[in-house]
Amino acid sequence: MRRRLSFSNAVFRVFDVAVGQLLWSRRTVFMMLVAAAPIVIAAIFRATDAVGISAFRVNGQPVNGPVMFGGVIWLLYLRFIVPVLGTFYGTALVSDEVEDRTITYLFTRPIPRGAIVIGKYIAYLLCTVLVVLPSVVAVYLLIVPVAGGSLGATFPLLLGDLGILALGLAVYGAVFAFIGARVPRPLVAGLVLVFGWEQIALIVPGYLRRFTVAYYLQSLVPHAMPQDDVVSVIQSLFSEPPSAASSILWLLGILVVALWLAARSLETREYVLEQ
Amino acid sequence: MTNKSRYFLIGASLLLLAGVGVGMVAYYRANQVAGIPPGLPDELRYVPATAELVAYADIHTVMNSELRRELERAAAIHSKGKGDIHDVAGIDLEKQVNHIVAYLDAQPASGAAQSGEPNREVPRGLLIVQGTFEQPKVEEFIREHGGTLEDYHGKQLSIHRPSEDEKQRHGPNGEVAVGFLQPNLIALGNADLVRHAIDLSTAATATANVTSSADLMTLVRAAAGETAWVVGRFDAVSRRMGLPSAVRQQVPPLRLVSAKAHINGGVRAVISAETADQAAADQFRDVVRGFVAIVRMQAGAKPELQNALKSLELGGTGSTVQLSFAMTPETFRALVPQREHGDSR
Repeated sequence: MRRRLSFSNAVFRVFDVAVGQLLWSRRTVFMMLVAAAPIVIAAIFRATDAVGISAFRVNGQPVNGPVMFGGVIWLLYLRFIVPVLGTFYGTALVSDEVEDRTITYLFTRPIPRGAIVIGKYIAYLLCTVLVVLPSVVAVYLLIVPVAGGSLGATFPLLLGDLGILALGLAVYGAVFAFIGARVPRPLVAGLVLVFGWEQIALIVPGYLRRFTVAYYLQSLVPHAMPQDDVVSVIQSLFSEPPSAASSILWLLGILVVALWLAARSLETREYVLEQ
Repeated sequence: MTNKSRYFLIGASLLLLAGVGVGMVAYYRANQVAGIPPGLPDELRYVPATAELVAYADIHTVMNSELRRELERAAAIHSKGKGDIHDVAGIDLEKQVNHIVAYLDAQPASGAAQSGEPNREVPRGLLIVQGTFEQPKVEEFIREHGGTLEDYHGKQLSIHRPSEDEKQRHGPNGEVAVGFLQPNLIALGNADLVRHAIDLSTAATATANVTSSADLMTLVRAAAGETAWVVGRFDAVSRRMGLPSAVRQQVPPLRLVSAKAHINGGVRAVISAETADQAAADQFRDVVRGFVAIVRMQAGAKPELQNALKSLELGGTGSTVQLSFAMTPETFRALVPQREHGDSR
């Protein structure tokens, strides 16, 4: 009879296998495209500036590099890339194994079931962080020096952005790992949650926004929210952002609870595989 | 893990570290050149060595303080300052501002200052506001309110030019400008000083900013960490206040003055003065002691002020004179007029 691995060893084993699965799957192409798009935009912005054309203007006035960088962080990374990567990868952590009917093989291994979720989650976090954050840094180096922007003066903002995006990936990943372990069509549920529930709750006056990840995450962003559409304007009108400490505590709380629930779901749930 | 995965992760990590490293080097070079000691507001790099008065306020802490909540409940001071700054630059003091550094620059002595009359000229000062702003929105707000935009070294300045009537009333320094030094940093004040701050933001040197003024920096360091502070040369303070020459002659020669306050549930403040020598300090202590005695005598009939009066403490060593006191929200409530019923402000 094989010896049952300890929880930490089991997590490491699952992580080791999951990294390869995550990096070299078809989803990787999507992740690379998503991470490369802002770099391409930044390169175009930089190139047009180098030839003396201001690529981005507001009310006829050219926008300088640091302001543009803040806009990219808000509009591309925080509102799109982080939630989308969290949804696509987080929901897939468990549901892919169920859909491919390979979860049985994992369950037959002498490892605690909870370790499967934790190991895969750590692999997800490492992969997404190491794809998204270098992309942010590349955009920062390309955009910020435009029109008199200073890399040195804005470096603390970059560190804040990197921390917030990593935290966002961690929290969204944990939430969607739980959804992936509980809900039959987790990707649809995840997209509805991110682009439906969160968007509506954020603009409705009252306490609903407290039940979103975006509310706490957006309160940490050091850049001003771009008032690019009616939704943003309404959101800023009713905005009463929590303090940074309270936001971080809430986000860490959501992360731990969601991850624990995901692990617990896998341990207790009976998965009936379709023939 | 396969070698391919390992190389990918190592490559991505190195890319991330290299990018952060470049930013870090730029950050340390910028700080080293500006010479800002750790623990002090970074915005001091924009304060020139010629500044006579430097002030700092942690607006975020003040806005979130128990004292502010208490005062808002009781008093009719509801967001007066907030409204003013919103009118000027479209900025919400409560939501968007973290802290403010302000300074008054040296100004040629005018006839009014010599005669002891209050100086009516617009002071050559600058307000450096750190927070979270949306630059296009602020610029649009200023344009809508009659400001003109000017390009200065690649940065947009929004300028309000005074009318002839305003120039006659407030002197020639009435040109006020708003400029973004960084996306999270606004300079607001005399247009020449805003331009100078932009110069410093692009090529700051240690000799060009207030860090080269040893005496002021000693006071700034002593005040570091407090919620609000102001330090300055006494000459400048007395000139701004328009102290009558008779009063100035009674006060022993003071070099520097400072005030710092820690604000939370109440206010704990320390006012310090640096005299030329110990004899002047002893003389000044006697003046302050007499003043404190008069205040205690006059406020004896007001029980709400007793706690504040009990906390008054005169101290200091050598050529330094210090007066400290503490005020509770109850004391503030007693001092600030109560809000009238039906006053919606």
